[in-house]
Amino acid sequence: MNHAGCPLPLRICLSVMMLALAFVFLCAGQRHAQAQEAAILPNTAPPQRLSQDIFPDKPLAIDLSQHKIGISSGFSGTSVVLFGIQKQAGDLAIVVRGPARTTILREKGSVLGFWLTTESVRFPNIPGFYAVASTRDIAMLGAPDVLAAHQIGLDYLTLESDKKGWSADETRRYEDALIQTKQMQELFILRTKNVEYITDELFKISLWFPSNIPVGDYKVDAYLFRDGALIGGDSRTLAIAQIGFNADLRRFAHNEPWFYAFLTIVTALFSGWLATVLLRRD
Amino acid sequence: MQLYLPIAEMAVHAETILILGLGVGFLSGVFGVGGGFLTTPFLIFLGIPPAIAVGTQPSQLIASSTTGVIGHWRKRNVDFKMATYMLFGGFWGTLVGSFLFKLLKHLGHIDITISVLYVVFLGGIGLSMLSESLLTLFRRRRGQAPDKKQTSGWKDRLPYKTNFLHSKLYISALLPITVGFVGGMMVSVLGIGAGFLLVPAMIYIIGMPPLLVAGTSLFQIIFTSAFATILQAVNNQTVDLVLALILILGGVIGAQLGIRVGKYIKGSVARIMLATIILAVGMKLGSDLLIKPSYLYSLEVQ
Repeated sequence: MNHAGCPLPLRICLSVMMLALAFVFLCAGQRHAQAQEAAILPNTAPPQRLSQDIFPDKPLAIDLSQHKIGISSGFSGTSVVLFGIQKQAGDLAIVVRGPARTTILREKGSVLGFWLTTESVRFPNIPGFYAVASTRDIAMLGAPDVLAAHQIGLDYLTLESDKKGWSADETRRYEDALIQTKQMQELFILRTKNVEYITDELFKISLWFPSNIPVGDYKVDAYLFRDGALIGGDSRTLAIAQIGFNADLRRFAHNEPWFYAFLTIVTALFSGWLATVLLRRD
Repeated sequence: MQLYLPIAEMAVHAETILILGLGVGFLSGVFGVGGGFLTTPFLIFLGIPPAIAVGTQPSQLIASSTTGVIGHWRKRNVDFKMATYMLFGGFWGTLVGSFLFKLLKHLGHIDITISVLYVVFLGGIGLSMLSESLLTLFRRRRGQAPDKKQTSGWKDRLPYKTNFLHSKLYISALLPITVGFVGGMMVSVLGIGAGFLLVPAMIYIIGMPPLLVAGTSLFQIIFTSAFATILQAVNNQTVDLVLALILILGGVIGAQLGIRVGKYIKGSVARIMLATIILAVGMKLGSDLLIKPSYLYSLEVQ
C-alpha cells in the first residue's frame, strides 16, 4: 500500500464520492421503478379509425406489425410492417407522420466576404418525421387540392413559416430548403411503388424508421384513390419512446437536474482518478 | 458499435466518439489544454446537436483534467495558490462575460464578432507562441544562452505583491486574477474553454515556470468545467451522460498516454506542437468564414 503520490485525504475524499455515486444510482433506480410501470407506452388504447367512418363500406383496412417502438441503447433504426386489405381496385398512398415540432431553418450568406448565418426562418408546425409511399406517382393519384387537404406527398405539405410578406419565389425557396435538409437527414422520406401485393386484395409494405427518429406519437394513414377521387382510408397510431435504462436516465435528467449534474461531475472525477490508479506503471 | 444517446436522442458509432476522446485526452495530457476547442466542433460535425455537444463536452474535461492533475501533482507540478487566484478572477470574468454576450447580442452582429474574435485569438496566440519557441530552439542549437527574462517595469509596479512559493514568483496578485478574469470572459463570450488562451498567458504574462503550467491550468479547468456542467444540466438539460462516458473513457486513457509522452518532449518542442495545432484550428475556422460552404442550410428542431 505505497501510494506515494496519492495522499490519504484525497483517497478518503474519492471513496466518499464512490459511495455517493452508488447511493445516487440506488435512489434513481427506486424512484423510477414505479414511475416506469405507470408511464409505459400508451399501447392498450384502441387504435384510432379516423377515416373509416367517412367511408361506410370500408374499402380499405390496415394494421401494423407493432404499435410501439421501444428505443433502448442498441437502437439503430427499425422496420414496421404495414399490412392491409383493399376491397376495391385503386391506387394506394401510405403516409407516416411524426409529432409536429417548431423547426428553425438557417441559411448562410456572404456578408463583406464572410460566410455567416444571414437568414433564420421559424416554421412552427413541422412533422419531425414524414414518410410517404404510393403505388404510382403522387401527382397522378388525385387532384392537388385533395392531396393538399390530406397532406399527401412532400409537394403538398403545408409548411407555414412566421415570415410574412415574402414573394412566392422566396417562400418556395425556403420550403424547398427545409424539405431537402429533412430528406438529407432521412427524416422526410419519399418512396413510390414499393407496396407489395400478396394477393389482389392483400398488400404489405415495410416502413423504415431511422436511428435519429424523433420520439413521440406517430400516425400512419393509408388512402385509396380511384380515378382521381379518394374512395377509402384507414389509420393507425404508433408510439415511439425510449425504454429501459435510457428512459430512466432521461427522466432523471429532466426531473432532478441538480442531482443529475452532481452525478455527472462525480462520475467524471471518479473516472479520472480510476484511470490514474489502473494505468499507473510503477 | 451503434449506441443510442438518451439525451441527444440519436444513435452514434461508439468507436468514433472513443477515438475523439482519446485524441483530445492525449493533447490535454501533453500540453495541459482542455481540448474543448477541438471536441465541440468534432461532435457537431458527427451530427450531435450543438446544444448537446456544448453541454456535454465539459464533463469530459473534468475527467481528463482530473487524471492530468493527479499525474502532475505526483511530480509536484501544480501551483494551487496560483490556480486559486486565477479561479477567483475567472468567476467574475464569467459573470461579466455573460453580460457582455447579452449586450453584443442586443447590438446585433454577435455571430461575426465571435467568429472573427476566435480566428484573431487563435491566429495571434498560435503565431506568437510558434515564433517564440522556434527562436528558443534555434538559439539553443547554436549554443547561445537564452535572453535573460527582462522584468518589465509595469509588472513590478503593480500593487498587492504576493509570494507564490511554488512557482518561485513574487508578483502582484492582480496578474493571475486578471488572466483568470479575461479567460472567464472568453468562456462566456466565445462559449468554449479557455485552456489554449490560459496556457500561453501563464507562461508569458504571469511568467510561471513552464513545467508548472500544464498541471495548474488543468486544476482550474476542473472547476470551470464543473460549473459549466451544472449550468447546462440545470438550465438546458443538455448534458448527455452516455455520450460523456464514452468521451471520458477515451479521454482518461488518452490523458495518461499524453502525460507519459509529455515527459520525453522538451518544453519548447511541446510549445511548437501546441502552437501548430492552435494555428491549424484558427486557419480552419478562418477558412470556414471565407470559403463558401458546400451546403447553405441547417435545421434546429425545438
